[in-house]
Amino acid sequence: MMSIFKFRRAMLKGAAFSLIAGTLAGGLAISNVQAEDTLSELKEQGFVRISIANEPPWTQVNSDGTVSGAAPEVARAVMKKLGVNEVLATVSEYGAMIPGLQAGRFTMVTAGLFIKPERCAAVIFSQPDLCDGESFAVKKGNPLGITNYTELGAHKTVKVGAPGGGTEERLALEAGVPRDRVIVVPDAQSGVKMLQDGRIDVYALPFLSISDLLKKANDPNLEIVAPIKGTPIYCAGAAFSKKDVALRDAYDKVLADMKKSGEFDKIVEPFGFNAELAKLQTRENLCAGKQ
Amino acid sequence: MEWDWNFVWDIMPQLIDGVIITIKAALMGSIVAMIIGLVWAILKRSQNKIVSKLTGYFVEFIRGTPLLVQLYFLFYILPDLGLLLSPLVAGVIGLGIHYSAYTAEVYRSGIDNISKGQWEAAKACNFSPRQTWSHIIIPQAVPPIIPVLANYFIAIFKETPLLSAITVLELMNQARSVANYSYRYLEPMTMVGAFFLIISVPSVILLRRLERRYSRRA
Amino acid sequence: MAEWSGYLFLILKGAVTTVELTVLGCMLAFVMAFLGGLGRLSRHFILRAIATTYIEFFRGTSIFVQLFWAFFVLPLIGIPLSPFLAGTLALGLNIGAYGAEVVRGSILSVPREQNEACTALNFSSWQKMRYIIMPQAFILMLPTFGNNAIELLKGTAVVSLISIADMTFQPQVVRSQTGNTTMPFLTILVLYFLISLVISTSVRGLERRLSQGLDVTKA
Repeated sequence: MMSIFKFRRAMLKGAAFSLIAGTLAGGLAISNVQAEDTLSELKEQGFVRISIANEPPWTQVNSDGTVSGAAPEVARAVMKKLGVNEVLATVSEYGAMIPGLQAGRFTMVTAGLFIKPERCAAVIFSQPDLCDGESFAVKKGNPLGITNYTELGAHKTVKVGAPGGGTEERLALEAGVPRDRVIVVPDAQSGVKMLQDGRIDVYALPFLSISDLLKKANDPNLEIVAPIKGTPIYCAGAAFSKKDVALRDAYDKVLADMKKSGEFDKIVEPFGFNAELAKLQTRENLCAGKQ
Repeated sequence: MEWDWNFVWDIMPQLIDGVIITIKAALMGSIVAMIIGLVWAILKRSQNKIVSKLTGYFVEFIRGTPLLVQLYFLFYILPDLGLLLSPLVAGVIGLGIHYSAYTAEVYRSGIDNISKGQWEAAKACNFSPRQTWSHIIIPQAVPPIIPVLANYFIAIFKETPLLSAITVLELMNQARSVANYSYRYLEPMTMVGAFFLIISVPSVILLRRLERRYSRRA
Repeated sequence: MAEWSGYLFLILKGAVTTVELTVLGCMLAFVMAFLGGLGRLSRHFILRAIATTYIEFFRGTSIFVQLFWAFFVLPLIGIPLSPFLAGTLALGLNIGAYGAEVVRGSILSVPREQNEACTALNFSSWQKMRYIIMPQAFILMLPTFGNNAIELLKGTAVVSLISIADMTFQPQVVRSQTGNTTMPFLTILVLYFLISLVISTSVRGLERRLSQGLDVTKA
């Protein structure tokens, strides 16, 4: 009988130890990030936690688990110049990014989060880095004939898919599509699948994302509607917590240098982004709602 | 972040819409689980060795794999095989089949408790297997296990938030969409927990009473 | 095919996370089951009340709701948890609450004469628990503990929804890269089943070993 109890005691010890270790590790990682001088803390720890989606070409996770895509590549290059050599990415839903930033789960959101007034009220952005227009993916021949958000809102039965907490979800809701017909698509591939299966009629995403998806799906029964009348070209930037103004300013300075030297263009253009569009826009305009 | 009651009242109608779907899904899922579980229990007692073995393996497989993955399977893969289920129907079937693996076990215990004499008597009276099951075995086996089955209704009810992963607009999904839109998680997520406690704690108490009554009779 | 093996590696990496979560979660659940179960049997009203509240709270809502709450709400009230820690805590505390009822039930089912015999022999209550009651009750707990461990394994799937790269999360990544849905999901279904078989066979083995020389449990 002794054996059970030895075994039990060992398990108890093990559990207690791992819990304490876990709490310490988890707690420390986060309290580091919340310190006053974020940049020097980041340099010391050698990495920065970023939040991404998995939506190529903006953000993508490769088969070996590494992170790529235009937004993380820009951030990686900028942070390297700031002396932080590594980025550690967490994949999450768009809607969870801003609360996550506020809760200190990560230091930056580099997921191609569009700079919009309501977001500027919650977090602070870098200067714009990636710009793109809105688009729809529909079945071949666009059977419902929907080409913009006004028509989407007026239609009585259309089901529109969009990422949760993304710009497109908000556009659809604001156009008057009722909540039960705005389907929150868990990830981009599921969106294509849901469109193919007829679970949704319209899949709303930025143009480059849709192009990338449809190229991968290689399905002759799907097509793109773009540009969408009434929607501007949106520009995204890296998002920071409101207390990290100093870090954001340092980030902006490096980004501006890279835009000038042409290094920026070399990073974003292979992904299909137009570097000039980002250079023409400013955060101030975008936060004020002027596109 | 401060708790904001005004915000809670603002989102209440949306959350209540979700609660209604949640209860609907739980009720329908339970009915499916009760029916299919009985089917497994009967098949497992089949004279045909292959049928009973295969049923056993299948039930064990369902029990050993996560409901969430099963839901993904029903939602994303069945359409490729030509079967397109609406999110709610896929969810109800998923809940029902998953929990049928548990209810099958409950039925089995009920059936095992019936004395051998009943089977033999049925045979002596020249009843067909169908008649034996429907007139002799089930009417005796099921009533004593009703409280145990009711436990699984509560279990199913608590699992319904998983349906949000396949886009069913139940309570959890409504809360997430509120959170996505407002960047506030505190109130919607806490209210989800509160709704579940408000419904499940009284049902558990009710159930204990039911159990006590049945056990007294036995 | 070469590409697929790369993705298979990704899924196996997820499987490691799933196993880690299961093992850590089970350890916590094991501790909580004894704390909760013994607490409910305690003579002290306060201990009983705390244990009952714990058990009812965690059994009243699902792992999913608790996990989301731990992940999204706790940081807002000043308790930041890493996703992995939030997952371990939610899983362990949840299954621990179910385990507590098992502990309580098993201890109560040890025949009363055993208690009386201890009193007659003038055992302290610690001695009674440690040498007489627990060894008998523990074997009664084992089968249900095994089932609970499988429930915990299945519960780990929901952590994929708070962006932990576990075994349920990886197929989505594979899917977004290859466009193939069926293979990755079938693969993980089989892997989950294999892990659950490992749990159930090892618990059965442990049960057989521990019940050697104890006829009491056969009664």
